[in-house]
Amino acid sequence: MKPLDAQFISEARDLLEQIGDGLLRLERDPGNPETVRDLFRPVHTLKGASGIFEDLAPMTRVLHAGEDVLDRVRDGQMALRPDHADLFLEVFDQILEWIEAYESAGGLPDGADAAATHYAAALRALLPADAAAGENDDIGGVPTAQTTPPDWWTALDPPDRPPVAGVAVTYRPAPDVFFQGDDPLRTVQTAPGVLWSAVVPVTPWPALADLDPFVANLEFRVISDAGVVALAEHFHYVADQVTLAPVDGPADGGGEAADAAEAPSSDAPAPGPRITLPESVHAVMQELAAGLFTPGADAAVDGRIASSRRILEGLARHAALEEAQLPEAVDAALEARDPARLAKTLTDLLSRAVPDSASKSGPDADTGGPRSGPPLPAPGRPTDRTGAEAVRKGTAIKVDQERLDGLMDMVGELVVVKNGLPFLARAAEEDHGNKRLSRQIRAQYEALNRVTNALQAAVMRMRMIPVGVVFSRFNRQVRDIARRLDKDIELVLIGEDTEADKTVVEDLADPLVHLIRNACDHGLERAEDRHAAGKPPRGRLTLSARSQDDHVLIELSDDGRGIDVARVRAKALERGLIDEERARTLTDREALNLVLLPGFSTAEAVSDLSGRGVGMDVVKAMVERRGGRLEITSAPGVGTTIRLAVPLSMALTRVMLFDVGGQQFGIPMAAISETRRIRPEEIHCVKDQECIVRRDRIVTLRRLTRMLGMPEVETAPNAVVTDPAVLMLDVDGRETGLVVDRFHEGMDLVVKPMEGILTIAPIYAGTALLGDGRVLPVFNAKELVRCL
Amino acid sequence: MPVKPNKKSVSLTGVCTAEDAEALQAWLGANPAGTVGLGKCDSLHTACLQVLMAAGRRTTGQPTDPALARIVSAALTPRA
Repeated sequence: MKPLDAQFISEARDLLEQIGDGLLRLERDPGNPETVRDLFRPVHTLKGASGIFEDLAPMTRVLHAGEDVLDRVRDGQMALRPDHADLFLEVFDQILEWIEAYESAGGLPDGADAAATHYAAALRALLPADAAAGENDDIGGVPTAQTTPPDWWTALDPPDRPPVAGVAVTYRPAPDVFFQGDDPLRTVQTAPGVLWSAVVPVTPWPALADLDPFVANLEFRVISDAGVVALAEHFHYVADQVTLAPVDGPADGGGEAADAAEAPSSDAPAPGPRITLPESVHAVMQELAAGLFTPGADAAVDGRIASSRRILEGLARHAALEEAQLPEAVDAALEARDPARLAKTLTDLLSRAVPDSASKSGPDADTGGPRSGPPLPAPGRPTDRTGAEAVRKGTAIKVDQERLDGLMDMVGELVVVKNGLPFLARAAEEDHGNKRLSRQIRAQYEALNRVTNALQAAVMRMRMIPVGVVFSRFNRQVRDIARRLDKDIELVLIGEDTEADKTVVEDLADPLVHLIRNACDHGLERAEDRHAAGKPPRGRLTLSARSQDDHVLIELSDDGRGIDVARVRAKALERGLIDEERARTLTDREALNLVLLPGFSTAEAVSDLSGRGVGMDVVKAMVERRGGRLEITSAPGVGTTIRLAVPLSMALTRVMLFDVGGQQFGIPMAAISETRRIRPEEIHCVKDQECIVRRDRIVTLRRLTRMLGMPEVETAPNAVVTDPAVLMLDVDGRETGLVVDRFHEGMDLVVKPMEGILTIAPIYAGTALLGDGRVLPVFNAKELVRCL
Repeated sequence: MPVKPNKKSVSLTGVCTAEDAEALQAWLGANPAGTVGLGKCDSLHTACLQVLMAAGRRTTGQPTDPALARIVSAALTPRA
């Protein structure tokens, strides 16, 4: 796929998302002119952008029709009714499908043409009769798009063609443009992603004296890689004077093509071919040139030139600089003791150079010899000229997720390696009796630890996306469900900016879909019931997110009828999920959790939305697989709140290490509510079960050594008998005390699930590699408690 | 005044607006061999660019904004 396509697809997705949001908002608030404008703009931009893709012609047709309708809505000539919104949503669902087909198959599916005709006709049918005639009115605001390269590009002989691919912009300002306050040069200068540009007179220049400088007589030709949507937006205000078209780079990928972008100046060296410089080298040279102009004491001149020479020699090892005859220039400048001459050579060179961010990652730039001179400035550093350029290039880059995952894996491995150092330090001290070496290793460990933590945090941050990405789609879902159930429901989103790891956010989508369906179907009442209960007729569903420590908390609350605890008990009993004894002794909170059991449903009738008894248990399982927790609170008549707490990131698990029977084990920190030592007299025995009383509740104690069938560690006769160490586990709201031999520290570990034959032991969540090479079995707290 | 005449050259400094185009045109008209210094030019209005292109004089230096510098040098280079 060409970069132009990929860029368009990702931009189109963003626009479609805005369109979806806009349609829902418009439906709720049809009269709001601002909403209409917000909706019109992305539709309009998308139409304009899709126009340059020949294969997408059917899509452009539909978009054009949609744009016409929205234009009337915007002008107040017609209003959007709810059934109009249905059509629009359907149309944009179709367009999203087409975009996806275009991405995966490189073209629209068969029948797209017929579908497009159908949708375009359906959309145009919405137009008032008198307006339909004017359907081809040029609405303006988006540059004309054509699918073939502009004439000037075709007219250039291939060797003269700019060796770049992208979008060709042809901008011919209207003659009276200056009197409208436009400055076309400024518009072109600030255009995004410019790779190549040229300016030519439209008619040959008259004699200087006859020239009227205030009549525009120019055509700007630009090739940009910024993507058609970004360019359409940039040239928005002069759209009627601009044409966009795709152009391909040369087949040979060449950099040989002679180009006319040299600076014509008196004592410049003969114009050379255009050269491509790694971005970092370009930046250094620019700084260097600026530095050479700095006035300074005469005595320092030689030194300045000499240092510059060292830097340049370093840079020359990078591509393309050898041809630039820099050494001669340096020698000449040194001889003349005139740094400005060297600076001039540099600027001339720079004017022919294209900073090439791609080659930055090339082997030359990364490993090309030792670097003399100052460290290369980071690209995008907000200083002087380079800064301005970097900002224009955009501060966001899109990276394949696989690469990020790879990076994350490496960081995980690095953590494992890092964790090996303390073991090494201990070995140095205990086995080799070298305390000094041990101390040095520890100091080194601290430094490495700091860097690793920073690196880890940086990678984590890269993977963070706002939960709003998932939240926003629920608007549509709630709307559709509400219409199907004939209920009036409003979804309120709070904290969409809260960030969490991409996989966490994506994995939350499905559970939340279940929960929202449940809330709409079971939680919220119909308008008449709500009215009878004295509530506003419109049901309110609030979905909020916030971060707390290393968890993201998601709360879904409705102001519906709440969960009838008595009925839950009765149903659970009826379905044989609990026995009578337990039904009586359950606290209300525990009873509420019964709805999380597989096979539970209180709905009288199975609807097509929910009530088949799948749902809550699936949700719970999903959340727990992510290492999270789920909690339900409900008040009859007031509503239900479901809280999910999910770790922000999954890559590393915080694990508590402990000894049992002379062997080390781990358990995820998330399951531990407390670690404590208990005095022997605190332990009570109920029948033959050891218990302790904690916060007025009885907590059973289990001895892990016995459970695992391991030998009791014999205490040396003269050893101080310590109080038993107890790990308090909180699983599903039930606490259990686990007696272990000794606590160790907590560690961030990469826990890998069990493989092969070991998968038969579900009490282990997996294993982690410790720094000294030992394998640490990590318990699955929930399974462990279940087996007790 | 952004259009600063010297003996044999005129130097464009700072922000050159549409109004400066006439002054530039006048100076270039009066000094047929005069050159133009662009090294201190931060911003150039299209009207001034038109004058420079029509005059076809030798220029020295580059505008300070790299994007502007690239467009201007491309515009002032005679094409085959």
